[in-house]
Amino acid sequence: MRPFLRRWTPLSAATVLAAGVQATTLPAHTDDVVFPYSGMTERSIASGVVARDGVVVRGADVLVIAYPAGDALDVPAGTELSTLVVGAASTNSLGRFSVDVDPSALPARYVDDRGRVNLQIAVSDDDREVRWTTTAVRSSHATPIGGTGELCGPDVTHGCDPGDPVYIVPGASGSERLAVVVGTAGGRPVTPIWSTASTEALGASVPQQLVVDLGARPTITDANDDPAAWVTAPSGEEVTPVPDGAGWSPPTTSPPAPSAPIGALAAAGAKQVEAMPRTPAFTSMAAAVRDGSLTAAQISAGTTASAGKAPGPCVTRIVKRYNGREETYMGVYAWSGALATVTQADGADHTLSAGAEGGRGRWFSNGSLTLSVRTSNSHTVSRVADAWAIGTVNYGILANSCNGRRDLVPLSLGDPIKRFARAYHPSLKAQCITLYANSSVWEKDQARNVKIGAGVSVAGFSASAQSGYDARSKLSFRPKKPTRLCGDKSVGVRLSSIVEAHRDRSS
Amino acid sequence: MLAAAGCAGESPLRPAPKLVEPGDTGRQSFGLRLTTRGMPYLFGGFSVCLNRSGVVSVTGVEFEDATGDLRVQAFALRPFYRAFGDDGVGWGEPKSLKQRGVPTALRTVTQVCQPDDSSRVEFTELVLQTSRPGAVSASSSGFVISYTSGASEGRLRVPFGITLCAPADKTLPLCQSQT
Repeated sequence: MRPFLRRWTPLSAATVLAAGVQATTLPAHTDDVVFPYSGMTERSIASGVVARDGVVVRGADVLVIAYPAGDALDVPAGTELSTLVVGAASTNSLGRFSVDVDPSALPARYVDDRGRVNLQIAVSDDDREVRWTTTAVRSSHATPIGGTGELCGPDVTHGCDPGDPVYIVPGASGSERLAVVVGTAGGRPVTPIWSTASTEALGASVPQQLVVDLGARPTITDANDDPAAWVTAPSGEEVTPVPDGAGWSPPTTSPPAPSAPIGALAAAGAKQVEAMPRTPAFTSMAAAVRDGSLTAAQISAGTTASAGKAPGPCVTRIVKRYNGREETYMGVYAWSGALATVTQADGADHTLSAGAEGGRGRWFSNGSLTLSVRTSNSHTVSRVADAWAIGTVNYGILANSCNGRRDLVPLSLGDPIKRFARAYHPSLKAQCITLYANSSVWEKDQARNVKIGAGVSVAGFSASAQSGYDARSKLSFRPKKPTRLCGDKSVGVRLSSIVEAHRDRSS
Repeated sequence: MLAAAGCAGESPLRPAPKLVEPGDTGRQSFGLRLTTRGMPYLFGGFSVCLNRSGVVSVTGVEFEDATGDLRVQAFALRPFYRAFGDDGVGWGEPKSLKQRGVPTALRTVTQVCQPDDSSRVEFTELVLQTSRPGAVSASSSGFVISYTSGASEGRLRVPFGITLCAPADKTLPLCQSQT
């Protein structure tokens, strides 16, 4: 019965299969922090389940902290980033949480011009916390969640792993299934107003769904983004667009290796996070509830931001910037008879992973932010063949004054098409279509691109990169000679995430 | 519990199947930069399938945002139980469905979408026949498949734009020398 449960990886260690979830629930801690629990509502901005070594944790605490958005995030080193607690929740007996945020309660500096909000989600049990970075985007699809039988939840607990979904939501495409790991409030169907860039690209609006394990090897898994699907981007020498009127032929030197899945080890590593000492942010917010400056009703209504609470005494400051780091994000596979055109227009989205510093200078991946190409940087490059498109991104190290935690976060995009580097031309045969010479043009936009597992290297951290979520990111071919356009999916070029063009040898 | 999902899925309240596109949906556009007025052109390779088992009946296919009086003249459904390979109908083949030998009698879809990592493949190919009826270029931003499923009606929007350029009309973006 698992054929569609492929886009997430349930926690595997110390499963609760035999005993059922409730019988093995662990209490989180002994302090007095208790935030409200409600199931998913239409205002849920992030939901999830918290476990410790595979056993769900009751009473774990979650804070959702907003970072400045847009230009307010792209500030010089030394600048303090004023952060704001915009939501809170504690986990229920099944380890589930859901945090509500009413967008009307958010101050302007935390919302970009498209309504998106940059968040850090802090999850804590007894004395440790882990964090996840994400950009919440406004829903563009009316996606109903709930209202049908639960897979795992209050009424169905036997045989459920902590990460197993309560609901499965179909994307626009039939083979894509999205996981929702929290039941809806009162079991009523809801239509979320918050979503993520990746689920939007699949034609559904589903807020961030996290599976958190605070055990001996802490992990956080995005229930709808399995790192096993990320790919590598081996690149060769720098290549340039072919001048008008000039011919093109593949270089005589050996090509780089083909792009491939990042592998099981790297995928597992992408889920590992670093647990840090629990910050005073949690007890500070609990104190605010006790003294009435923040009410449980506000938290439940998603208007926590109205209380104007910073995350306790903790201050976040950009302590160092890494500008102009190269980001590999799009493979272009063409031939001399059909060179490609790459467009990165104003507003094209790029989702780039963030890192958190662990011991011995190692960075752990902990989510991502979605940034957009700026008007002044948008442009189009034509006559490209067998190349990775490489842009630039500006990262910054953010330091937390309470626990010394340092995060490596993408702050803004630079030139989206800085250069091209040679790529291996894959041979795709799942479906091929003939494009006639001098008479046809094909464009692909508003489609999902592959996610590059190590698309950016910055300060020793390999960050993932993904673009192509938006109509502003485009790939097109205008063949001069008969061309075969082939895709990687058995259901056709139209529905393939990787497409290559080569000579039509039958003509 | 996963077994419960199967039980729930077989309840009498189970919704009727929907027609969907399997794979990485998204907007694409295709233009034929030189077309002959009145000539039929075929556009195929559009995979559709059901999100759960059952049957739907396709009642019509219409272009969206059509200009130049672009219309769907006829359509065909072809079941596939393997990858397309070279057997799908391409984009802009200058033939009618009859000339291509594609039967048009089938009007139902029963193939259930399979996960990407499944060894099983099944879908239905939709093939459209259209033409440019006037002296001006014609286009659409996509097409909509209308269908019935049980007692309900459904519509699947496929954001695949088609442009048929007239020799003397370069007003549409894909008909211009550069896009």
